[in-house]
Amino acid sequence: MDDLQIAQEISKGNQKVFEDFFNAHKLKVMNLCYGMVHDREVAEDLVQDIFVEIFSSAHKFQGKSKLSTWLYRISINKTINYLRKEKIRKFFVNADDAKHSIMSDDRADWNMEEKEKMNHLHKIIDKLPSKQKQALVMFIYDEIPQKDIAEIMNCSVASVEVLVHRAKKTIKNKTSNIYGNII
Amino acid sequence: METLFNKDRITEVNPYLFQKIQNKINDKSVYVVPSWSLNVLKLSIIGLVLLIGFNIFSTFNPESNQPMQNISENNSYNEFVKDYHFDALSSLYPVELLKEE
Repeated sequence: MDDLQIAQEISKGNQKVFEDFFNAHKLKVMNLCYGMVHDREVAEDLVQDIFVEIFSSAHKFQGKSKLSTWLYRISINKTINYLRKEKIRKFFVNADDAKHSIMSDDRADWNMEEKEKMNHLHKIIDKLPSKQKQALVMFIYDEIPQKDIAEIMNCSVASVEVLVHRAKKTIKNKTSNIYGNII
Repeated sequence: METLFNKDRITEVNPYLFQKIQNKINDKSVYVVPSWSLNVLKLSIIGLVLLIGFNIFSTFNPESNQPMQNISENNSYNEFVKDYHFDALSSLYPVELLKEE
């Protein structure tokens, strides 16, 4: 079954095809959202919204790109919209620090040092320019090939390489002062 | 860095996640609003805003007040005043008429 047929079946309400599609992509979408928001619960809510959107607008898929590319574009857009709203909310309620400390507490298998390092990394990633952040998250958290990232972000492979390289360089520069060569 | 990111990556999702998505889809289909009604609502709001704008514009536009100012310069207006019609329209009864009685 090709991508267009899958989209058509989903738009017709075929639960089996939709569930198979969900199972095939759930982890990638979850990691994409988590990499962007750094909060598992929020990422789960976003995954729900994304697949509801996929179900209700599957009839709009024309097969010009891969279905997975379309799914990641919707995921990126939903996540960016969430982050924009969150930014406005934080403008009125200063909950930034509280959120990061709560997030680190739900990892029982992490020691304190790892939690601190990861929190620091999350904060650095959040401060990256939006395009760099998107490229880095897709490359590191989702392990999506740069060619596919370029298609999702609608830019050239060389641009993606530059974005990922700059993001990694920023992270290394900002962490080397504190953690030396460990990170 | 790679090790930390690998550890941070999510390896399993909530087993009830698909069920939650299905519930959301079902809820959405129950409370679905037809797209044409949203278009009608949008057009109504645009129309209302335009009417309010036009109303404000015509209130403060000096040209639109011009005919009202020119009324006092008409012949028919002057004749109307001369025949005491304004007095007759006022709540006070003309004093001249009272005297005659």
